[in-house]
Amino acid sequence: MARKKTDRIIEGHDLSFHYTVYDSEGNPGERRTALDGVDIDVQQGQFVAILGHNGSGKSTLARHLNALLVPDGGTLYVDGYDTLDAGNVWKIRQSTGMVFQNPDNQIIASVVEEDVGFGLENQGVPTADIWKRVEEALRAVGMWKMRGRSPNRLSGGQKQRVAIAGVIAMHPKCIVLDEATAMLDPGGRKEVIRTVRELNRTENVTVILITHYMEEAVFADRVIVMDHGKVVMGGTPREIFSQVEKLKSFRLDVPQATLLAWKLKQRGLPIKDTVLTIDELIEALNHGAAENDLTQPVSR
Amino acid sequence: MLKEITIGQYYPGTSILHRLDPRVKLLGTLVFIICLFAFGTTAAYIVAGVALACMITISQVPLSFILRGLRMVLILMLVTALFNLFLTPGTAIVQIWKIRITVEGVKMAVHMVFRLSFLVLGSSIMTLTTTPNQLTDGLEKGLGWMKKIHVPVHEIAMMMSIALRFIPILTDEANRIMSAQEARGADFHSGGIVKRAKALIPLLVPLFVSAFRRANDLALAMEARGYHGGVGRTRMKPLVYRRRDFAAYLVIACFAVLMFLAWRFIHLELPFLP
Repeated sequence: MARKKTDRIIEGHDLSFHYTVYDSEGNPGERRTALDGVDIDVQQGQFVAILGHNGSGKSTLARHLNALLVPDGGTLYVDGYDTLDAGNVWKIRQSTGMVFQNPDNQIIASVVEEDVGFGLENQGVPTADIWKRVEEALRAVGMWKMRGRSPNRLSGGQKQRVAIAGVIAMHPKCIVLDEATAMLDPGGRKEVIRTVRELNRTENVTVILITHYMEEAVFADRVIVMDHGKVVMGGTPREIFSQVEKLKSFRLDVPQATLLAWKLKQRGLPIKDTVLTIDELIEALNHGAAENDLTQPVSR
Repeated sequence: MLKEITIGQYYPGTSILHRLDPRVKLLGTLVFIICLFAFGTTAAYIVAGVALACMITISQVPLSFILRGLRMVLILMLVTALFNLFLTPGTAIVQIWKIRITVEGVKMAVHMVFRLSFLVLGSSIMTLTTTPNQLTDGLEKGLGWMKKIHVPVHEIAMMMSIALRFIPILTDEANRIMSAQEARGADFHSGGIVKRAKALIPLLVPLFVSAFRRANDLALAMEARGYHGGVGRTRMKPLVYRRRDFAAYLVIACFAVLMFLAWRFIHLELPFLP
């Protein structure tokens, strides 16, 4: 039950986790390593993106952050609570909320506002406070007008925003989005990313975004790359995406703008820094063009 | 084909019946049904019919909408009526060869038709004026006392509301799987009943698999949001009795007493009526 005093919301050291694979008769077979000596440190208020291809262990790590899974080896403190101590489970789940991949499978109630209130009901919050916090949360994600709707009538992006509202109504210090944008269309993805960035900026909520869309990781303060259950790279988006070849070896892409800039640079165009967004690319090309007087300025 | 499945056919409205506490409506329906079985005379059924007519008027649900509920039991009603008509022994009115219709048979048939339609109408008034969520809430709270005898009331209510939430999702999914299989040559619409039932098996297997996967995801999501059973839970929309609910209980009691009095003291002798 004891809480460690720390300013780091997540503090994991040498985490390991194994899945047991069962054959068709239900006998335990080989043990597969999902996490292998992972060290992770996240400061309160940071926006961290975790990248990795399928099977890299990033979702397993996400489930540890909410104590849905506990490590086989190593220690993990979430908000100062040891996840291995079963008595801490409910405190950890209150301080770290999770948004999952499939929007349909995580909405429990048949009315938007009731779903947002679900977590609060579980915590035993008094009725009047539930309503207040549900309103705050729905306004924060821009879904207050839809509070009386059935979740079945919402778009994917709206459903994920409701799921996020359900999490932030519980006033967590940290939100983990476990591939929450994977099943959405581009519009829905933008909606969700805009919402979490806003929360991160205004409410100082720590955001851990697990994704395989590189464009989303660009906005993060820090990017962690995982492969085969290990953390293989870490740093700012600029540092990470400058290593195009190394990322490719982990079967990951870089954002399109970055890739284009990198390829142009290889062909000898004078682009100095790593480019992350389309705007930066235009800037760089304009700049290069002006300096070398090669072409007319490029416009969008 | 699957579009027709509607459960909890709620008709939105603001009538007093819509606003009543679901527990009152549940108990009212229960009392109504018990009275129909306990007091089966013409006089009592007239009382029940008048009460039903009043409720339908108060509910502001269009009559055509309510009568739609009767359509579903039409066949059942016909079969019961016919069986009673031909198979009740007694004094014969008409006799052709071995088939005979008796006075008692006619009485029985009329009685059955009225009892069945009153049952259906009475309960559809409840489902039409109560949302599925209110209904499960009402059941959970109204049957709360059963926790003492170890009936998992909260869990049952939670399962019911989750089932209601997932019906449209699984219906969509079933339609998708059907389309996918029809695209590859499956045939759901022709052939006899056995053939069509067989055609549904390849639909049910993937549907079950996906339902289990969804259940797994949902359980994880509920756990992540701190769900740990009904203990220590508060309600966002708690059920609170208001004055109108007590008045409604009084009305229900009056109805039961009236039914009893009509059954006990008024004996109408009508031809062909029970």
